Amino acid sequence: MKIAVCVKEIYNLEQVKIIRETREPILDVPKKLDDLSKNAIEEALRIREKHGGEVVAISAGSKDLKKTIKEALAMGADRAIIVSEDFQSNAENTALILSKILSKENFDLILFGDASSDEYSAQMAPRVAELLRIPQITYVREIKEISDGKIVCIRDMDYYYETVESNLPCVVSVTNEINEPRIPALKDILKASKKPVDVVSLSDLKVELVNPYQILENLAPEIDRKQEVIQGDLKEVVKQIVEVIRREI
Amino acid sequence: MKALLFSETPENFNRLSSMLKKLGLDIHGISFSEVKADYIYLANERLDYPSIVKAFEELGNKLNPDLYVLSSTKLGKEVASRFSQRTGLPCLTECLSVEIDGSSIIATRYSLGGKTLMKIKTDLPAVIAVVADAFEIEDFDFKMEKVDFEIKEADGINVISREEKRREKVGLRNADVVVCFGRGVRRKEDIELIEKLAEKLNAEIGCTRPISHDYRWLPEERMIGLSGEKISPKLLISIGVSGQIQHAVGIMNSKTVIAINNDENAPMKEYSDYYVVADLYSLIPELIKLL
Repeated sequence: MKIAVCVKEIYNLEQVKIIRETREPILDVPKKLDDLSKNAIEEALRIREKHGGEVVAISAGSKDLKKTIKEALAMGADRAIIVSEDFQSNAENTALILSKILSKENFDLILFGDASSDEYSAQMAPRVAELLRIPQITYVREIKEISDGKIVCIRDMDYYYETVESNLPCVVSVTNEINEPRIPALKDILKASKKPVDVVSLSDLKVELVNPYQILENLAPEIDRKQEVIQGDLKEVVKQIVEVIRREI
Repeated sequence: MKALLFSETPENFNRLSSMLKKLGLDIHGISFSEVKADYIYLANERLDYPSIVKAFEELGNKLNPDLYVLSSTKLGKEVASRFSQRTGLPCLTECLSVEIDGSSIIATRYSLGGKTLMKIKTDLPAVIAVVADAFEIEDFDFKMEKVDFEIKEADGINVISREEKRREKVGLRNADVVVCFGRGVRRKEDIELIEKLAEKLNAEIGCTRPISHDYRWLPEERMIGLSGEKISPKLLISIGVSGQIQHAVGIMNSKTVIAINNDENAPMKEYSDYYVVADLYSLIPELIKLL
C-alpha cells in the first residue's frame, strides 16, 4: 500500500490572543500540525503496520512548514513532500497544489483529517478527490477492510452511520474519533530529522493560483463576562452560588 | 435572483428557504418530501454525494441559479465542495449569515477555531453551505409549484448499509437553564450527580465533545460547541469544563454563566460570569441540598 496523508499546519490556537481594543487576533504565535491531521497520520501508520507499504506526508504551507512537517515524520511517516512558501491561501489553491503533488506518484489511498481545527471548512478532501477524478469517503470513523483493491469504511454522518465501499485509489477523510494519535518518543523525534523531505516550489508545479475571496474583517466577538471568582469556604461558596441561581431563574 | 437549494431534511430545507426568501431570491429546491419553496423538485431519496452533485449540475445547467445552497451538514459540505471544484464556482461552508451585495455575497463564518468571526465576500454565482439552525422557519408566500424529479445514480461509491442514529429529542436550544459538564466528571456513574442537580433546576443536560464522542456517555445531540448545539439559556452551569474555544462558541449567547472548576486558571474563566474554584465532588452534593 502506498498511502499519502495530506496534513495541515495551523496556528497554535490556544496561544492566539485578542487585542482588547480592536478585537483583532494576534497571529504571532508558533504553528503546529493540526490535531485532525494527526488522526489521519495515525490511521495511515496503522494501515502500514497491517498491510505494509509506505506513508508519505504531503502539505502546502508557509515557510514554517519545513519545521512543522517534522511532527508527521516523528509520528512515523516515511517521507514528506511539501510546498513551503508564501502563497494566497484558500481551498482552491491548496487543493490544486496537493493534487499536482499527488498526481506525480501512484498512491492507493489518500488520507485527510475531515476538516481543520482552525477554519473547519471541510472542503479539501472532496476538492482533491474531484481534481484527481477519484471517489471520496468523508467523515470516516472506522476503516473496516482494505482488500482486493477495495476499501470499506464506516462514516459518521449527522443523522446516520453509513457503510460505504469504494475502489482504490480513493480519498478518505477521518474524524477525530477514529483513533488516538501516538505521541512520538524522543528517539522518533531525532530520527525524523534524517527522513527525506522533498521541498517543491510552486513554479515547479506550474499551478495557476486564484483569489476569489475577499476577507472584509476577521474579529473576535466581544466576550463581556464578569469573571467574578468565587472560592474559599465550601458552605459560603455554595450559598453564593444559590444566590446567583435564585436571581437568574 | 435565483437560488437552487438542496437539503436532506425538510426542517433544514425550510429554515434555509425562509432565509433565502428574506434575501429576495426565487427558490428552486430539490427535496425528498413536501417543503416550502417556489419551485419544488420532488425527488427520490438518494444520499450519496455523486448522485446529488450530478443532480445539482443537471438542474444548475437548466436554471442558471445565482446561488447554490446546501445545509452545512456533513453531506451538504461534501456536496458543496465537490460541486464547487467541478464547476469552478467559489464556495463557502459553515456560513452563519448570508447577505447579497450587488453581484456578490457576504457571508460570516467562524475562523481560527471559533476565536474570530470572519466576514468574507465573493462574487456570484457561488456555492454556500449554511448552518440551518441559525435561521427560523417563517411564513412566506412561496409559489409552491411542484415537479417530479429523478436523482439519477452516478458512479463513485457503493453504499452498503445505512443505520439511523437514534436521536433523542433534546431541548437544549430552547432551554432556560442548562447544566453542562466536561471531563472534570471522572466516571460515567458520576453523571448521576449532574442529573440530580439538573432535576432540581429543571435544566437540560449538555456536555463537551469528549463526553459524547470519545467516551459516549451521552448521545451526540447533547454536545455543545462549534460542531454541536449552540445554546442561549438564562443560566448555564458549567461543571468540570476546561473551556476549549470550540466548546465556548456554543455557549456565547448564554445570559449568565456559572462555571465550577478545580483549576483556578482554566480558559473557561474567560467565558464565565461567576467562576467557582472548587472540587465538584464536594461542592455539587452540598449545592443540591440547598436548592
